[in-house]
Amino acid sequence: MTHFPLTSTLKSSPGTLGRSVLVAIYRKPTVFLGALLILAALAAALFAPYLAPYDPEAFAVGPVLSAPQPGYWFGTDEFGRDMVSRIIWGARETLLVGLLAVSISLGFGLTFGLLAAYLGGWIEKLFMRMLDVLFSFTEILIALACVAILGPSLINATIAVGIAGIPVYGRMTYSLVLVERNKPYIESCRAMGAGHVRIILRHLIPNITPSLIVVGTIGISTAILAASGLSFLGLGAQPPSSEWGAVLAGARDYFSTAPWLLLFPGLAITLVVLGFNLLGDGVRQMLDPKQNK
Amino acid sequence: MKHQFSTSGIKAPMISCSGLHIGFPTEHTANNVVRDLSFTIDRKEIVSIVGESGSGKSLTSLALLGLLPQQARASADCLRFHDRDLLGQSYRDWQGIRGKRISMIFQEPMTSLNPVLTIGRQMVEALEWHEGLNRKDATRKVLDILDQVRIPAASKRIKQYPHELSGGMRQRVMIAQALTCGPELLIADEPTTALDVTVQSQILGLLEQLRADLDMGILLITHDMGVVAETADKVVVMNAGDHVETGTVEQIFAHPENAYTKRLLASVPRLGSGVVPNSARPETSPQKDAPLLEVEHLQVRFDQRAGWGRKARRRVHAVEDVSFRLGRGETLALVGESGSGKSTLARAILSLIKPDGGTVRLKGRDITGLNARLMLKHRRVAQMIFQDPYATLDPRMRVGDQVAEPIVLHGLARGKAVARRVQELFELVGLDPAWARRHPHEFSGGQRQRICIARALAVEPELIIADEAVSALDVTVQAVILDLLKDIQQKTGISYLFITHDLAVVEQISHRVAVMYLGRLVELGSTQSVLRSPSHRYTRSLLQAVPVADPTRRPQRVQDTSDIPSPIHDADWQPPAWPMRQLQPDHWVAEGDPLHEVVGS
Repeated sequence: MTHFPLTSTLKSSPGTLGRSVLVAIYRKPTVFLGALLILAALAAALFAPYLAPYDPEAFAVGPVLSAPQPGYWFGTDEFGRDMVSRIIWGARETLLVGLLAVSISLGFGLTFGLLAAYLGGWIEKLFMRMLDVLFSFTEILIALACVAILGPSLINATIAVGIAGIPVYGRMTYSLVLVERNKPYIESCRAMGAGHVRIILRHLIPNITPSLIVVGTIGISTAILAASGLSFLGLGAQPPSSEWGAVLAGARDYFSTAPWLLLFPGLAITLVVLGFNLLGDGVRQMLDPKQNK
Repeated sequence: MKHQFSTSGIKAPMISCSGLHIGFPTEHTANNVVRDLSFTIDRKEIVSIVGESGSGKSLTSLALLGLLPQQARASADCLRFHDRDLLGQSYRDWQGIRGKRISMIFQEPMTSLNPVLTIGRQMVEALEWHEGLNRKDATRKVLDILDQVRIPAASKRIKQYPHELSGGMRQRVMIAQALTCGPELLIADEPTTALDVTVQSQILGLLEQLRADLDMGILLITHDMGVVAETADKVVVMNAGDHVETGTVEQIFAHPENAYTKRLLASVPRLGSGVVPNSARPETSPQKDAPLLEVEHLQVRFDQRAGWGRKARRRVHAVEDVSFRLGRGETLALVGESGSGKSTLARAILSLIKPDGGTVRLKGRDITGLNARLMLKHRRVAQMIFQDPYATLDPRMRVGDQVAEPIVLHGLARGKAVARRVQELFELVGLDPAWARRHPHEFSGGQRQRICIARALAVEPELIIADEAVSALDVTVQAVILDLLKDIQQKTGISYLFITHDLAVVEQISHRVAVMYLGRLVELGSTQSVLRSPSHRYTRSLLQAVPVADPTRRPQRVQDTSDIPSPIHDADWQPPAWPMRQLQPDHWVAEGDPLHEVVGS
């Protein structure tokens, strides 16, 4: 359901999307940078076995706790594992965490928020109070509770982060739909004889999608950070996983003696987050018919 | 140019402007949106800049206040306020002019007032700030000014918030604010466009009065030739950035020189002048026997709930006991001011709002309270066109898809046939079918309304309810759209329920008129007899208030500050019955006047 608006918008403009992507990139170098960062992260995730110089979990491929040097460009950790390899392999799990968590939040949030705003009545009261209850706890607390129930693992941490994010998207969708559904074009659809399903799928969702995409891409970043946080607390990815948050967590003891162990995974997270934010802004512009003439 | 600038011996005008260019330059072109504009304004003079949307009239007014957008570049041979060159003022210099010596009022008074402060607070604070008065003196001055703009019971009003005032009262407050520092020039940008005609007439009368009382020049920016004819001394006509013609109001209306001015004047609908422009009213003869639409005792009320248990305390009587019939091929105009319930009535007829009582029969079948599936069949019979075509089109869907939507929805065609039908519809409303792939923002207002009409016609309806369908359009476009609607009626024999506040439009398009006031029908009859011999008090005052595009027929204004009474009553209020009295075979008038009832209750 969540991907519907995107595909429908794309389908209606065959052949022009590729051009509008190029136009958006040409017009805004920041979008290009974002695309480049995400492409790099995706490439690392897909081709990790070919790109990584060493096995990310193999001990003593180099000296222990060595600073960045030729051969080990990002240094090595306390077990002599190569940090370049660990970060390349870690892209897989990290990206998966971000995308999956946002899909969960967005899927449930969109459904609840949209139905609450569109149908009103007791459904609105029920759904919105449910979201309020979720909202009244901090995200990390909800995530902790979920992990406590499901047990610590990367996938459970991802689900937990996803659940914790539902109220954000729910509220957001709710307010967007409340605004859109009172606009005259929705009323004219009703006068035309369009049913609820058609109004929701063909008109409401495409019109709220751009805002959701922006929030969603920023959400990918916060989800990655939140999952990293759980991993850092030892509740997410378990050693010897090279998920970036987990790597950061493992490096906290060497904060003063081997800062590169924190620097490079931290930098990787920052760049991916930046990439999603820049790209999200670009996608929003592409979906705005006023932008591509 | 016919203007004289400060040649020796002649006193310089307050504002002198010559050769004004305003543009949004890009690397390659100057993109001038105002070209070579010249005019002067003197004290006690009302100068009107008139033009359609996009003519550059508002930008010109912003240039006089130094409020042009940052990307805009203005140049002029001369743009002076007394002896100060307005193009060379620094930010600090402007502080001494803007709001003090030149001030401005805008179209929409609600958005120009701060909604969280009382009227008094906003005005008193401005005075304390600008003039260094203490609170007591400032309050006294505010009361004086509110008196000047003829706000009744000013001491009570200053404790109210903007939303508690009617549109007309808000515009008076805006004018009062503009007058606080005693400006020499007041710029009024479409000051009455958002107001009802009776209120518009009050505000225009006020402006005229203030000009005399305060020895002030007024620059009136408007698209409405009727307003110009009634108030202006001098007229500057603009078209798409070009300065078309300047002259006294008598010259412009009696002997327009430029072709555009002539066209503009010709497309102004003139009420009661006997001359109906373009073509006469539709020639189709409505069939009297089997009415297409029968509305009987229709009633819509909205409860205002408050307090414990959400009990209805007050009730809005939006539509009260309305009955009428509409024949095939007939156009019935539904006229009334804002809040009269005409839009609510339209929505109730189409079951977009559930009526509280009465019946709506479409082709003889009662359609009140039908479920969605049964209603779908009837939606094919009756379609609707709305006021703002941009807002009623989905901004993210190609217009071709939007016109196709009702066809698919009602299963009228499949596959390739849909595209063919869309093409036909585009041609019918005079649009290039190749434009079907565009999005709504790529069209002009008139074209968008054509798209909406095409969409409404897609299901071959027998009735179209047009809710203020031409009021957002420029007059020349409005005339074309009205012609299109008449043309379609002749071709297809469709019926229109045409909702409007503009009586001049009524005369052009409708066979019969129904006048609505406070949720009731007060008069119903053939267009001829209602407009020629209005019988209800309200119909008469409505007709009197319509600005006439003829400066030789300026009305004698009576200073009137009354608001339209409210249709909101206590929950236990029982509306009295109003029988309609038949005056002529085709002319009814209500026996009763809500004004008396409201005063009585």
